[in-house]
Amino acid sequence: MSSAIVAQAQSYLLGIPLEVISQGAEAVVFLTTVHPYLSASMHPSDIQNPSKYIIKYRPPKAYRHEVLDKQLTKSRTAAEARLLSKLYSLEIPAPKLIALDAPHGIIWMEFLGFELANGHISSLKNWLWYLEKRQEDDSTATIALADSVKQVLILVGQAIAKLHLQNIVHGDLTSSNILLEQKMEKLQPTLIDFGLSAYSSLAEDKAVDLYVLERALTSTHPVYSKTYNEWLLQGYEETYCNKTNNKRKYTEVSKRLEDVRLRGRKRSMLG
Amino acid sequence: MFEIFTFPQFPQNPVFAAYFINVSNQKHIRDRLLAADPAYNYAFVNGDYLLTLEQVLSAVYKTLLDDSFDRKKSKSVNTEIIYNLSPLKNILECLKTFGITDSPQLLVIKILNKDDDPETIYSQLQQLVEGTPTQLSDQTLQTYADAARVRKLFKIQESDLARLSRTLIANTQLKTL
Repeated sequence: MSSAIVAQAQSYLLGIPLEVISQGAEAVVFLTTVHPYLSASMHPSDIQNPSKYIIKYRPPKAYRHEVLDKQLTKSRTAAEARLLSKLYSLEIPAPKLIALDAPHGIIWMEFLGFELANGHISSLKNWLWYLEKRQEDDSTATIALADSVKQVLILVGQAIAKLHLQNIVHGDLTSSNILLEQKMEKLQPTLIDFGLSAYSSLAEDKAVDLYVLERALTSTHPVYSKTYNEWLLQGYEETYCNKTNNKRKYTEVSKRLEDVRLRGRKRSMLG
Repeated sequence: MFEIFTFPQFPQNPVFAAYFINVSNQKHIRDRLLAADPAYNYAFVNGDYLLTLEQVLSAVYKTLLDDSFDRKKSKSVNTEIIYNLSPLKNILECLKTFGITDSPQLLVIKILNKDDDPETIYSQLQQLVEGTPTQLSDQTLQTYADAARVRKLFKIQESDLARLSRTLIANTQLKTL
């Protein structure tokens, strides 16, 4: 992790404690303990965890022309923030927008998730790994394929279907981009990282979304992935077909998913 | 009766805020503002559309941020606060709805410098506003605001007040993009 990037982020966020929690190709994700404009005694509306916030920072890319780089950073950051706000009004589980400094590529959002018993953050991936590990230690019980797992995966499928029904594709669905929240003693999945999201009504794009998640599950949870995927698609179908005339559209996506499975994520041989 | 807010990113700029109800001299204040009277260097915000302190502070934060990087859309920080609170794009329209109107509830905001004395500022302000000073809180804001008009102006169908407030904050943060 380049300290220059952190220093740059810090110069735009003077006085804000920053702890790096993840870095991708596009952005660095920081965890902080302060709200940008509310003191600790004031409670922000409709936010579960007011003691922690996520700051997503898109650093400038040295290989791009400076002017173009500024434009891309600003428009991508703004697009992501706009989408978070849109998802909130659609009541699709996603992090809530707190503050925005689009020209510098900074988004403040709500902190989601909790710590699992093994100390890891409650992403779908970590949670399944944790359960699979327990399953290995105790082969007589049903842990990795318990009903609670089925419930969660169905909910994940439903959340993706809700997104797709609004003609939004996530673009980077993996089991680590799905966080679990504890709500009324039940686990509730939330999608995160909408950095690659786009609006699309094409069955192709939706099928690719599902395919990418399927591949991610197969590679991170090889033993149980087949069952996980079935549950996921079950939830997806349930929600997608909820409205009467959506059955045909669902069939289109599901047929396309079979095609995508055969040929891979990319449609053309270019790029 | 006034409040001081400080943001971790802008410790050198405390934010002064005072809330008045039963304000009677709106016209005079408006005239002095139009005459650019330096004594009226405050943001006079219409209380009708203010539901939470978070909504207000979100706009002040954005103003400080945009001011510190020299990218304000309007002439002064005072108009910028009003502009950031409003869903409208035209600055004059923003001032007409969110600035000083004939509404009897008024929130007065001023961005201070570190060595400004808030007590002095408050006593000066009391000379300018004829109204009843009231404790600023989410509860008072909601008592005097008109949520139905907020929904109408922002074109939001959200019955829950907390959800409505969140949506307003997102609106402010996404302003000008």
